[in-house]
Order: sequence, then structure tokens, then C-alpha cells
Amino acid sequence: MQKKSTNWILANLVIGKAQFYLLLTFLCFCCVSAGFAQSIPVSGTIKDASGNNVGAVSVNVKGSNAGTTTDSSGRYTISVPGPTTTLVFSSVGFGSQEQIVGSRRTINVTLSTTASSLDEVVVVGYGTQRKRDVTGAITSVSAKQIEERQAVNLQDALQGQAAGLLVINDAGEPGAEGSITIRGGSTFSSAGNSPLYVIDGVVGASATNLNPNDIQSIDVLKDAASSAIYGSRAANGVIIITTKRGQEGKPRIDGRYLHTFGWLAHKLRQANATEVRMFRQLQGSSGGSTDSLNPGFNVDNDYQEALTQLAQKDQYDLSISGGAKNLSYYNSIRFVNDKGLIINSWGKQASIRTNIDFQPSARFKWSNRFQFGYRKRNNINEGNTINQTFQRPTNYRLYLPDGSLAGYISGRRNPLAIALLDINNEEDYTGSLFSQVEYTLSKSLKFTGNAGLDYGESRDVTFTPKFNNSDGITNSGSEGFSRAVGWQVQTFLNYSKTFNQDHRLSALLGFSAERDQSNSSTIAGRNYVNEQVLTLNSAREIITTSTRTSGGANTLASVFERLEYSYKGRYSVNGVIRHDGSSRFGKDKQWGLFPSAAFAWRFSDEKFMAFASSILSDAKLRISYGQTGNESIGNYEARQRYGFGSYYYNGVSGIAYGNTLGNEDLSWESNIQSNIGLDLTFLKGRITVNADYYVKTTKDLLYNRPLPRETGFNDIRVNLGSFETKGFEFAVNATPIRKKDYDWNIIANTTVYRGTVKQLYNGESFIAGNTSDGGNAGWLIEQGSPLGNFYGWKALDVYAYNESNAYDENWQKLTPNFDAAGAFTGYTIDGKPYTGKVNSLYGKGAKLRAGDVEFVNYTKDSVIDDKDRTILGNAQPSFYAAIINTFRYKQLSLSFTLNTMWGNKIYNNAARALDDYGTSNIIPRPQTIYDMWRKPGDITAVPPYTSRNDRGSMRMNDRWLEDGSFLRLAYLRLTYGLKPKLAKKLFMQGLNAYIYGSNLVTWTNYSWFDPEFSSNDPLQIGQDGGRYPRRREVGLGLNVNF
Amino acid sequence: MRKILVLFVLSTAITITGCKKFLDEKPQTEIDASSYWKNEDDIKTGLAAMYDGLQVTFDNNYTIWGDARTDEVETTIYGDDAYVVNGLSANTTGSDWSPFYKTINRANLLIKYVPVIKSEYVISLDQKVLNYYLSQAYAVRAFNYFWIVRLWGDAPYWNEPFETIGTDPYRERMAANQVLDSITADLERAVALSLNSTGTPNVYEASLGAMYSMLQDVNMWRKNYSKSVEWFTKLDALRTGSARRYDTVSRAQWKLLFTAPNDATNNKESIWSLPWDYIVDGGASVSELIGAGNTNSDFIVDDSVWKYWVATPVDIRGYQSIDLRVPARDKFNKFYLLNANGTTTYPNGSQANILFPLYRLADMYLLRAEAANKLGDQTTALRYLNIIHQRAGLPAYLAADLNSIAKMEDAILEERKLELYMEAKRWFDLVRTDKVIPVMDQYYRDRQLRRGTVPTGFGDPRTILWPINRTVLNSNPKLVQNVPY
Repeated sequence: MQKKSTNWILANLVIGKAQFYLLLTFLCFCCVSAGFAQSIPVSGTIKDASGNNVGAVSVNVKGSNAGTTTDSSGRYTISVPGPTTTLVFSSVGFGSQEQIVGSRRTINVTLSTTASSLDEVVVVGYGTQRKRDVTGAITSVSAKQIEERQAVNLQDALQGQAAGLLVINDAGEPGAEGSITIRGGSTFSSAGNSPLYVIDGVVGASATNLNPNDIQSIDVLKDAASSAIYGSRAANGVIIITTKRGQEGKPRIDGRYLHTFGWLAHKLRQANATEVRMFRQLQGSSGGSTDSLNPGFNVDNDYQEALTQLAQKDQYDLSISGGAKNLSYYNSIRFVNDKGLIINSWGKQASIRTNIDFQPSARFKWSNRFQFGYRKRNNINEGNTINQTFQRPTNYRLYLPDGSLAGYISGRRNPLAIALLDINNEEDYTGSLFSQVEYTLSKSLKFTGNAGLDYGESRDVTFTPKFNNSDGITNSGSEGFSRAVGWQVQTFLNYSKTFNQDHRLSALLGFSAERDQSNSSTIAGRNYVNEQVLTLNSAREIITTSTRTSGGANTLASVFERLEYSYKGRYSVNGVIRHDGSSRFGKDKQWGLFPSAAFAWRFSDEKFMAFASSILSDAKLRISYGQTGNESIGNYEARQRYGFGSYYYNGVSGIAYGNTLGNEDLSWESNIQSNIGLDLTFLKGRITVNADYYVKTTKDLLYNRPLPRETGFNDIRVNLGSFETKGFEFAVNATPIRKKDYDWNIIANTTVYRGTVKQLYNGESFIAGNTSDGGNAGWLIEQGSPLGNFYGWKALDVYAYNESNAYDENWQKLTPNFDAAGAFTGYTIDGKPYTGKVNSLYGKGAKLRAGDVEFVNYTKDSVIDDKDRTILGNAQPSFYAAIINTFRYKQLSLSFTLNTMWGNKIYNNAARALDDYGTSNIIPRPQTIYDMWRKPGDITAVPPYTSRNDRGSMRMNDRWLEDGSFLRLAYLRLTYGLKPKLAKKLFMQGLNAYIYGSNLVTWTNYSWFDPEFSSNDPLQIGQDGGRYPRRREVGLGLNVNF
Repeated sequence: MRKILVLFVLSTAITITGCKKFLDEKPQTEIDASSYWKNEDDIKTGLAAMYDGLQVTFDNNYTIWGDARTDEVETTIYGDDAYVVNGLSANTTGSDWSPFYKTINRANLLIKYVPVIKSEYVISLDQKVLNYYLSQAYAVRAFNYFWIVRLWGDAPYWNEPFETIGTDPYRERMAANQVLDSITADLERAVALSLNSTGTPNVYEASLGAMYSMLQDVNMWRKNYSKSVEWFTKLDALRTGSARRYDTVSRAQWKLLFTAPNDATNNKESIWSLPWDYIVDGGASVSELIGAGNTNSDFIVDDSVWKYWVATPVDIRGYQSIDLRVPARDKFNKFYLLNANGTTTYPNGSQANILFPLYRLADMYLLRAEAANKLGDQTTALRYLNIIHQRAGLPAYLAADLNSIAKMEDAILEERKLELYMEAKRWFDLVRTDKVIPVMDQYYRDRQLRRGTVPTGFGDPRTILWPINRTVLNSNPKLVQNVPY
């Protein structure tokens, strides 16, 4: 079987090479003939029925791939090959129109809103498709939808916009990003669960520094049939981003400014000084805390108040775009200055983009994209500030009597001093250059060649001054540099032809190669001579153990083909094959094949559906099946390697194998997905409904198989096991009201999915996270179960009496009885006296006593140990959904987004760290203090401080497991747009003023800061370790354009 | 047309070979396995990695394996009670044997590749130099298995390196006695190689003296007393020139054993020590269990030891082993320098340079005494016991004081407890002499009572062996947990 597939790949590979040479030949041909093409410039304005200018209308030359879009004032400019050219105008919610150019140089068009959006263009990777012909599950998000968000990053822009897209927004911390997953995770590593970004044709680009205002459209390819064209990296879907282009005409200047205020969205109740003293008594001490003359312990701090500030964020945007004949440009500059919620946390971001398109002839087009990004922020150590505020007794002083900051008290840090004095600066620069040449060889054949370069450079500086060190005499820090350079080259041919009106055929053939190289080094030091100079020449001592250098590279070579056929737009078939070769895999396993096929049927065009045509304007059924891959592993895991730098002995730096054995048979993880979808359009576009059901199966999972420890290794990366996700997505876009002066639009979507581990190595389940009896969360990964199963002990109340730890021979609990004087008189069971053998439970080698947590004894033996663990709940939501509403009344418009995630559990580890009495100077939550077991007979779930974790009461258990469901008013924007006439008087094209709010209301039972946060490891999800708190934001903004 | 065809075929061929090259990315900050084990430098770095493995193994566990379960210490609220009330479980820190096996694999790599380097790459290498390296690899492998066998009993046995998934990685546990036979064989082999080698291992490496000491120790463990005496005699007979290679240090220089094992002029007692250099190794983690500047200790000095040393100030080991100035009893100063004023500056855990003695002559003398006693030679036993006892500043034992084998044994064990306090010997002394339950049972009862639980004492004698760690068990289905864990 294996041999057969290898031959397959080889056969295809040879063909691939041939194709490559063909393409090169075409490239030479282009260079020669480019000068001969001619062109006629055409421009105009597009209006809707009520006379408003319409932006983002696609203007295409019929029968070719050339095209443009209108700017926000409805203007466009395009160069056409000759007077016989037909231009096609189309946009969302409008019917398309065709115009023959003739001798006209200005063509103004009024689009009617009656038709559907089927002629809209969808970007599908190495080309576009009419929405009518789309066979895969693709969701498009327009610039206008993004504009309603005042997005700082892509996560903001995309949250709630598409079914099947789970966006976790870590908004709160300046510069934080969160995560995006399409159709749930499919593998066991977080890198392997991220979608692939394609920005203006650059595959695998980083979306980190992308300015959301630069985005013209986002197309999310969800099923394998759509994403297979990106092969080996498309297992988690593809997000294609197209940035804006300039339009011919006068320069258009857009200025935007937004100022937002943010504050702690959810302030938590913390034990006050009185409660601290109550806790001190329960600890059995009446010590220092009650000395009324001690200045150190006689305050009552509101740490959250002290540590937070009014967050303020400024967003400045300026863009200039325009074009002359043959040339268009788009320039944008953005600057964001963010002062975070926690004192001294800040982030600054700047990005610059220049898009230049040069079209000397109708046949030849040269596009350049240049992007530069800058980001600098001061990271606040959450563990030492936010978490510390809860741990530190509120009666400890923050300041000395002279007003200066207090240092350590009783082993507890001063969180304010940490926030103010610790330094953790992250600074990075990114740049990308991209150049593309398109040449129309004939009416139906177009060649594209492009090259891109990505460059990233970063510098991180950390420093802890003496003042914040527990010993008060050492300071320490580090300085790290990293550099990442990547290049890629792509060439492809697009063929597109319509035969006999009804048969539309298009094909794609392409080749690409890329290489990424990264290097980084960190130097750590101690005892800096001066705390102002943080470069490492200041450190008297270099900490060798934290000083590191790393570097690596990977390459990828690909050949890809696509064939599409559409008959009358009624039946569409689409097939894709991609071959990818990756340097990351074993010598003989580098090449992978990723095929897909899809079929769409517009049954609304069938005669038998004619009866419904007045209501059901359009209906399409899509079926697709395809295979994609995942190569997100370390660069050299297929090789057996010796490492060094951490094996020193007696002055010699030793060389040894690492913990993971290399595997030369390592190969692709493949992801097979089938999708069935239905697109319905009712009432001529007033309502559209999209529904998709999919099953995706990951095979040959890139997976760390544990090795017997006696081999000297911990594990080996293998292709083993499988994982299956089934999901259902449903999206509605409706416009219930559409009148001249007012309209109302709703976008709603919901997603349900279940991921199941199908096969593990040897069928052996394993525990991720905490495997011992500690308090951190552990997760059981087993066959037949989803990921995210919290695995720990099920807690009942604590034993009320010492005598309560009593069971009959079948481990039925006995009830102890006491006489009036409180003396134990004997046991009863079901009301009857019990005189048989009395069993008791033991934990950590000792018999459990009054106040110890009673755990469910699943094994029915006398010990509570790791065999008594059970699944306590799951961290994955049963569904998530969003509703976006947009109202417009004349010049006023209101839009808001509600989103929800339902049914997931969160392990509140931040609360656990307070409640587990880990050290005497951590104060639990106030309710824990009140509920604590105090005397025999108390019925409560909270053990007393005195027994701490002596007999295992603080094992990971469901006392800290909470429901994470929430419903949130995530975004709201109220905009007033000046009437165009009025604006003109002010020498402006337009002016909008708005009020913006985010995270305004959250309905949840979750007790810690916020139920929405991203988890780094897909095997360890839903543990809240006390994250940077989310802010509630309200802002005012102004957009002007000239 | 033909030209084009030829050109096409040619260029296709070039591209395919080019593509292969394009996809061949070599590690940039590591060494591909095919480029290692080529010359003498590779042996030196491999050897350092092997010793580093030993260092990692003992980093946190030295005290846990050798002292935590004995009458030397009690736990603080920060420590795990499991050690002191015999409540070990498959999750307890110390139950994981993997670091031993990591070290064994590194030793096995040396044993496999050192001869290959000579036969295939550097034929000119002096066999005697290679013997010097090889002897250490055999000795360290034996040393690791000796610890494994004493802590867990039966154990999987690997005497060739594991390097590819083509090798079956699953092995059952081999009977402890068989493992001990292999240990003896390895050590005897190491001795033979060492005797035919050039190169002088320093005190931080397994030298001939360390091999003799191990053989003495292993034979004591197997109760081969006369064999043990034979190896001791060889150790005792080692000479540097005409001077004794090993000799006890004076009372005044006792501290050098822990602060300067490599001071060959003043300290001839240290045989093998394990050094930490925090700059490159990070600090020795044990420091955080028994006394670091930045954190509370897991262990405190047991009452019996504390009281004895407080009451017996003439015993110079007391104030040099535990910090009598710290009433919390949680600072052990044995491995740190004493300041001129008698205080100790405890480094932060991450900056603790500790020089653990693995073998030193006092240990070997007392084992010699123990063997003599078992063999009925009480005079010799008393002589060796008194060398150590008197050095501590105490009056000599008289033959009349220790007039039975039992009394003599108790006195020797007590001497070992104080002399080798916190040197990871006590637990094995108790196991070797079958005294775990007789000595420890009452301690466990007292501790259980102090914790308010039912005093069950030591409990099941089978729990003298450690449980196998849960992760280790899960990683190899052929392993069977020690009963009754």
C-alpha cells in the first residue's frame, strides 16, 4: 500500500517538473511580448437606486481575470483592451450589470438591489471564482463588515463574522492577540491547529502586524476541497486576505482617529483586612496582624484599584490612495498607542503599507506590496502582579510611611512594585516585500509570477531590579534577539474559457518554492552594575544556563493543479491536486499528495423548482471531499540529533541526545474532510442561508509516542493515531427592512462541533498536564473521547466529624450518631444501627479526618489515590454563536455584535491557588474563609486551613471547576455620517463620527475575570491561571475623507 | 524537436536532483548523529554528558533516596510527608528512575563507539587512553544500576545503546540478583581497563579508587563480607609514589571533604565527588530541600540528631553538619563553608554549588569495620570504628563497651549516621543490615501520632522498595509495579 502511494507521488512529481519548465518558458515569452499590448482607460461612478454611491463594487473585464473595485465613494477606474470589451459590475446585495465600452471613457452605472449576490467574486487561492460557481465552504467578510469593529487586530475583525470560525479574543493586554481556529482543532499541537494565512498571495504570511483597515476582503476557506490548493498546511483551513488597492482619479485621503477608555470589566471581591484577620485566627495564629502599632500590617488595600488604571488607547489611521492612468497606489499608516489596564503596561504599534499596481497595458500588470510593522510593548508578568494581588493579604502595606514603595513582606511580593519596576519589553519589526507580474497571454490564458520576502527582527529585554528580588541584593535580566527571513516564489497559469455560452472551463497550474530561516539568541545576566543600563555589558555575571542560541530552516516545494467546469452555472465541478515536498520529513517521506474534488448543483435553476422561484431565488447544494495536510512540527524531528549547551560537567560541555528520539520515517499528517452544504437565497437576496455539515478525520497524527524511559528517551514523534471532528454550521444573513431612509441587516451564525480521539498509540490513554495529585488541572486523552476532558477527583463535602469517615463493607457511607453531650454513640445505615466492620478511607498514607474533603471512592478500596480519578467535565463549548445587527436611519447607523459560547467548563486555577492554603501568607477568597470547616459537625465543602493538603484535600477536583458559558455584547458602534452635500461644503467627501464600545455587557456565572481566553496547548484547554483581565471599552472616533 | 526533448529531459533531471538538495535541510544548532563519534574530542564530550546525566539524576533526589526516609530528618510543612510516614506512591518525587537510564544510555554509547572510533576513524589513538575512558563508562554504568537495584529491586537491563526505533524498546525487569551480577562484572572489567590505562581521573570522575570502593560497597550489599574486605584491601593499598593515595583527613580539616574534595594536598579522603558549578549547571536542587537562601527547606533535622549534637559539642561534626543557630532546624550547613564567625551564608537554590561526596575513605573504613564485625574480627572492627569516632573529637570506644556483634554493629551504624549524615548513606545502611523496621518503626509511629493519624508504624516490609513512577510504568507495558504499591 505504502509503496503504491509513493509511486503515485513520484509519477506526479515528474509531471510537476515538466509543468514548471512550461511555466518558465511562459515567463520568458511574457517579457518579450509585454510591450505590444494596448489599453483604454475607463472610469465612472456607481450609485444605487436611491442615488447613494456604492463602494466595493467589482468591476471586471468579461472573459478575463482583469478587474478592480470601486472605492468607498463609488468611483472606479479600469483599463480595458479595446472598445469591444464588456465590463461586468457586481456587488453584494446588488444585481450585476454588463456594459459594452464602445467609445465611452466614462461609464456611470446605477445598480439595482433586486438581484442576488451570485456574481460577486470570491478569492479561492491562485485565482477567483464567481460566487455562483463556488463549490466549497467559503465565507467572505467585506471591508464594510470590518469597519464596524474599529479592529485593532485580525481577531477583532473576524470575531463572530463566520460560522465555523472560533475567535478567542484576549483583548485586555496591550498587543495581545488571542487565537483563531477554523472548525475546531484537528491535531495535538497548537501550531498544527492554526489556520494558514494568505495575504495578497503570500502563503503562510504572518497576520500579526496587519492593519485591519487595509483589508479589502477576507475569504475563509473552511472545507478541504477549497483549501486543498494550499495542500500541506491547509488542514486547519485558510484565511485569504486581500488588501486595498488605489483607484484611478484624484487622491483620496482618509483620516481616522479613535480614542477609547477602558476599565476592568469584572472586578473581583477579595478578602479585606478584617477577613484576613479572621483567616489568621483560623490558621491558629493571632500574630503580627493584630498589632495596631505595626505600620506594615495595618492597611486595608484595594489592590485591584491600586494596580489598575483607566486604560486609554489612541488609534490613528491615515491612508492616501488614488491612481493615474496605468498606475494605482494605496498607502496607509497606522499608529496605535495603548496604555493597558494594569499600571505600566503599554503597547505601541505602527504599520505602514504601500500597494502599487502598474498596468502599462491591458495585458500586463505589475503589482507591488510593501508592508512594514513595528510593535513594542511592556509585558506585565501576570503571575507576579494580578495573581499576587489576590494572594497577598490586603492588610500588608504597599507603601512605606515616606511614600516610597514597600518591598517583600512575609515572602509576598509587592505587586505594584513588580508592575512598576520589572521590565519585560518586547520589540519587533516586520517587513514584507512582494512583487507580482501578471500577463494575459490570450483571452483565456494568464500567467502570474511572484516573489515575496518576509523579514522579522525582534529584541526582548527583561529585567528584575534588586528591589523586586527576594534577597534584595541581586538583580537579573536578559536580552534576546531573533531574526526570521523567509522567501517564496510562485508561478502559475490560469486558463478560463466559456464555450457555447453554457460551458465554462477554467484551469490552474502552478509551482512554488519557499524557505524560512530563523535564528535567535538570548543572553541572561545577573548583578548589573547599573539598573539603568540593561544591555548585557552591564551584567557582572552571565547566567550560562539561561543563555541560548537557536536556529533552523525549512523548505517547501510544491506543484498544484486545479480544474473547474461549470455548466450554465447550474452544475459545477472542481478538482484540485497539490504535491508538497517538505524538508521536515524523513528522506523518503518528504512528498505528500493532497487531492480534492467538489461538486455544486444550483437546483433552483432546474425546471421543477420554478414553482418556488418567487420566494426561493437561488438554491445550491455543495458536496466536497478532499485531503489536506499538516507539517507543523520542529524542523529536524526526522533526524537523530546530538545537542549541547546543557550537559556541562566539570568544565567540559558535554554532547548528548535530547529527550526525543529522531524518526526518519516521519511524514505528513493528513486531514480528510468531507463537506455537504446548502446555500439558499430567498426573496431576491433579502435572506440568505448557508448550512454546512462536515466530517474531518486526521490520520497519521503527528504525535509524540511515549518510549519506555529505560531507553534513555522520553518519546518519539510518529505518524500515529487519528482524530475526528464532526460539525455543523449555520449562517443567516437577512435584511428585514430595506427602505430609502432606513434599513436593518442581521448576520447570525452558529457552530456545533465534536472532536473525538479515534486512535492513540497502542490504544493507550494518557494524561496531559498534571499527572500527579497536585492541584493544577490534568486532562485525560483517551480513545473515543473528546479533547478537554478534565481528569481529577470528584469532591463531596468535607467530613463533618472524625467519625464520619466510616463505610460499611460495600463502601456505603455510615452515619455517625452522637448523644446530647456530643459523645459518639455508634453508626446507623439507612436509619438502622450498624455493628459490622467499619471501613475508613486513607489519603497520603493517613486516615482522613474531620474537615478533610471526602472524594468519591470509585475503586472501592481504602485509599484515595490516582485510580480514583474520573472525568469531571469538558472544556469545549457545546456550541458558539454570534449575531451582528446593523440598523441605519438616514445618516445614523447602529451596529452591534452579540456572541456566545455555551456549555464549556473552566478550571479556575487562579482561585485554586488562593484556596489551597499553599503557604500561610496566601489569603483565600472571602467565601472560602467564611465557609471553612471550623468545628466537628460543620457541613461544608471547604476544608480547614489546619489540615491543608496533608491528606490530599487539595488534589485537582471539581471544587474549582466552573461553567464557562457566556453571552456577551461584544461590539457596538453608533455612527453619524455627515450628508455628502454638507460634507462637500466642508471640502470633504465624507465625515463620520461615532461612539464605539467593546465588551460592554457579559452574562456569565463564571467567577474569575473572564470566561473567554485562549489556551496554548490543545491538549490542555480551559485552565484559567489568572489572565490579564479583559477591559470594557468605550471610545469616540472620527473618520474623514477628502 | 529532438533537441528540445533532450533539453527537457536534461533539465527535468537537474531539477529533480536540485529539488532533493533543496529539501535537504541540516540541523543548524545541533549535530546530526551521523557526524558524531569521530575523534577523541567526541569521547571527551560524550564522557562529560555521561557525568552530567549523573548530576541531573542526583540533583534533587540525593537526599530523597538516601536520607529522607530515615531517622535523620523530619519534614516541614513544605515537604512531602510521604517520605517520613512511609506513604510513597507512584507519583512521589524520587519514584522516577528515568534519569538513571538516560545516564546508562550515554555510558552505553561510549562503550559502543569508543572502540569504533579507533577501528574506523583515528587508528593512531592509544588503546591505553581509550581504556581510561572506557573504564569510566563501565564504572558509571555499574554505579547507576547499583542505585536502581537498591531502590527498586528488579530492573530492565540495557547494556547496549538505544538509538533507533528499529530496536524493540520494551524490556521486562531483570531479577535484582542478575543485575547485581552484571554490576560486579562491569566493575571488575572497569578495574581491569583502568589498571591498563594512561590518564589520571580526578576526584570528580570514577577512578580506580572509586571502582574499588564500589566493589566493596556492592559486596557488602550482597553480604559477601570477605570479598568486600578483599576490595577494601586493594583500595587501602593504592599509592601515589610511596605515599598512601587515600588517607583520612585530620579533625581540623574535616570540612574540606565537602568544600574541597579536589584539594589533593590536604584532602586525601575524598574518593569520588559530584561537583556543581551553578554558572553552567544551575544550582544543585537539593539545596532547596535542606537549606537555600531564598526558600524554606522541605526537611528539618530530626529530634534525635538535633538533641545529640546540641548535647555533644565536642563532636566537631555537629556544628559543621547542621546549623545549630537556626532554631527552625531547617538549615543543613554540611555542604557549605563556615564563615569566620561560625555562621553560614546560604546561596539561592539556583546558585548553590554543592560538591556531593559519593565515596570517601571514612565510609569505606566504616564498611570495613562492619565487614570485620560480621566476620567475627571485633578487634579490626573496633580499630576502624575508632579512627572515625576519635577523629570527630570523641573518646575512643573500649572493647568492653562493644562486646557483642550486635552492639558493635549498632555502634558502627550510629557512627555512619553521624559521620555520613545527609550523604545519602543512611537508608541503604538500614536496608543492608535489615534494620529498617527495627529502627524506623517507632519513628514512624511517633510521626503518625504527631500528625494525628492512626499509628501503623512502617507497615508492609515490601514497601522498603520504592514504587515505580506512574509515567515510567505507563511508558512500558512490560513493567510490573512493585507489590503492594
